[in-house]
Amino acid sequence: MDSSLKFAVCDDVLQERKMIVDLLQEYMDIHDYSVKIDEYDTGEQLSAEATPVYHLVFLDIFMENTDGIQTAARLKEKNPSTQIVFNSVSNEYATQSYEVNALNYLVKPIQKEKIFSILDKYFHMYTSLKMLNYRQNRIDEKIYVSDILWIEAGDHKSIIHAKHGDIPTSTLLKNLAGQVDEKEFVKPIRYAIVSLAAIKEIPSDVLVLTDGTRIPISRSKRAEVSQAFKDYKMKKILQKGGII
Amino acid sequence: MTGFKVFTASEITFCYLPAILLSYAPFKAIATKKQKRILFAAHLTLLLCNIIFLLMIQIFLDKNVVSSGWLTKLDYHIVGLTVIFINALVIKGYVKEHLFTYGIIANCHYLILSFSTYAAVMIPELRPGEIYLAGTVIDISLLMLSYMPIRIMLQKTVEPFLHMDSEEYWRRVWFIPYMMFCAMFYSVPLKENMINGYQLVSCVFISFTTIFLCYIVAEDRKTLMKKQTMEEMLSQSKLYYSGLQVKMEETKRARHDLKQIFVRVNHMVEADDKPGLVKLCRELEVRSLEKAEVPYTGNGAADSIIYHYMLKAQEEKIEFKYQGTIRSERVSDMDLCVLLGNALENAFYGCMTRKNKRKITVITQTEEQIVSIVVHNTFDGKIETKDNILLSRKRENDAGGIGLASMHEVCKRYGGTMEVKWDEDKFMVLFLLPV
Repeated sequence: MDSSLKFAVCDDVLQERKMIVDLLQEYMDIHDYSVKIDEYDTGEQLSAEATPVYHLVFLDIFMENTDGIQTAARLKEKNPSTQIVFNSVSNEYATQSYEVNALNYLVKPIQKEKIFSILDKYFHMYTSLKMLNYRQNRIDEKIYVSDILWIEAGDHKSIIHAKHGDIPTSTLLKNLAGQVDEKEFVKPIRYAIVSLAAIKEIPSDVLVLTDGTRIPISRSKRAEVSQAFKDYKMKKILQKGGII
Repeated sequence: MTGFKVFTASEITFCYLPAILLSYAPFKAIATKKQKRILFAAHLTLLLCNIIFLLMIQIFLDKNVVSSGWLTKLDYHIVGLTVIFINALVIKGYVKEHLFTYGIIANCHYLILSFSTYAAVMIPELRPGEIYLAGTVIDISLLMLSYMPIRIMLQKTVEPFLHMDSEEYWRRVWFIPYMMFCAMFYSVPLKENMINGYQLVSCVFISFTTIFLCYIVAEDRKTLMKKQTMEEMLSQSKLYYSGLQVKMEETKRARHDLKQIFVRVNHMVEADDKPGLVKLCRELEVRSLEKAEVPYTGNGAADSIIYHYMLKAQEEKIEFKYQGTIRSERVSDMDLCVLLGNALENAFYGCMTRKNKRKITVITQTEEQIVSIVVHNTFDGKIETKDNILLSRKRENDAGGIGLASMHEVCKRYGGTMEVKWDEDKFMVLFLLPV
């Protein structure tokens, strides 16, 4: 397992925090995973600018002077791919936790089986992340498909517009398009393929992406793009609701 | 001379084009691709046939349309009725709606024709052929200028009522515009394509009265529908409020219990009763912390409606789940009620078609720019349709729709969209609305 994985546990009650950390450690030992686990007792510290970006965060909803939901929103803003697991004494706030796309909601007392099942789910998700192969300066490179906003075709090359910046490649758009899932990407115009996850507004005659990029949709593709977007949203929401 | 006959036949036919486009426009959203293609082909054929018909009649009877008012009049009626017939045949189940739509258009266009005829006559020193040409130019210009106002009129009087729940509206109004058009048509004898001032004034009065009447009836109907929705919303809010009161009582009791626990803990600490404390902790841990029975999505109107159906589902032993939040100030409470109310009503009656595994799930999600709402339910897998419209299975012998048109209309108004899907045992509706 990738040793650069970083987890954080944030709870103002030391005993609760230690219990989660111990259970995480036990899981890592069983599966022989190497993960760095940090502890925090306030949401402010966890979401501070200088704090590293975490892959998975266990976050208490009620901490002294800290609102867990707001902290989660700040963490998501800092890095949208950070996964959050809320822990609280009741599930009264489970509804609000969906607003920040929480991975799960743990009701205290913390149970080993529940934490282990969440970790199983997380690692399954992590290991199944799809990669896209491309060529840059005659070297084969890879990028997580989930990090791609859109791909633009150029003359004998393509530019991958990713969350962390643009990557010029010498791979043709059609070769890159062939590697991505048709249900996750859409081709609104001849020169671009766009990640459906990166679309911020309901498509009309233009696609507005999360980074503000506007990509025109050719007239003949409007119905197809709109249908693909609706199918994608439906699938994601049903997945989130545990229906599929 | 034949050239002139070809020109007049084509020109008269060309003037029907805006009417044909307008007669189809209100049904554009509900027509399938296949229906659109058939309509295009049928209307094109009709226009071509009309050119041939006018040409033949002029040649065989040795008449021309310039001097034969009855010919244009007959043609106007034949084409109008054929357009209604084609539309009703292709987009089935909307005969009254097609008649009403064409009636409105015919009123406006006949007024334009009367005005352009009168205006052309008023131009001094023109010969009959030149009067005809001048009338044609004015007529075509006015037809083009009036396209958008008529389209708006149709958007206000036809489109909001293109669902089965508006049957009562159509029963009352369908005949008004077409009958008024007939009244105007036969009261003005365009014998030689001439019209006098009194006849024009009569046309203006009839046409404007018809439009005004239809507009008023449509607005009244909308107000009535709003009032009904408001009343429903209010009764659901009352129900929700009573649910909140129960919840508040429960919270009060929970607070009381907590105080009692503190007292017990205090006694145990004082008595150094460690086993007692451990027992108490276990007792508290196993106490179920169930989800609140009153929904909270962050939107009062949505909460009321979800609560209403949650109670209905409980009565029928249907599993009901909801999750997520709705935070959109752009979407009015009433429109949200139309969406959720229709979707949950369908979900409820969908579930009722099953004997077991009855489940309704409402999932909402508020993102930066989009509110997504999914209503998902189990059902027996049987879908009933009539003329491509999904039918409600609320009651037996009930031919009502499932409110798709009204839900679609709300989504469209906000620049949003919706999607309906089903498989062998699940039915789901998705609404995407901009925040």
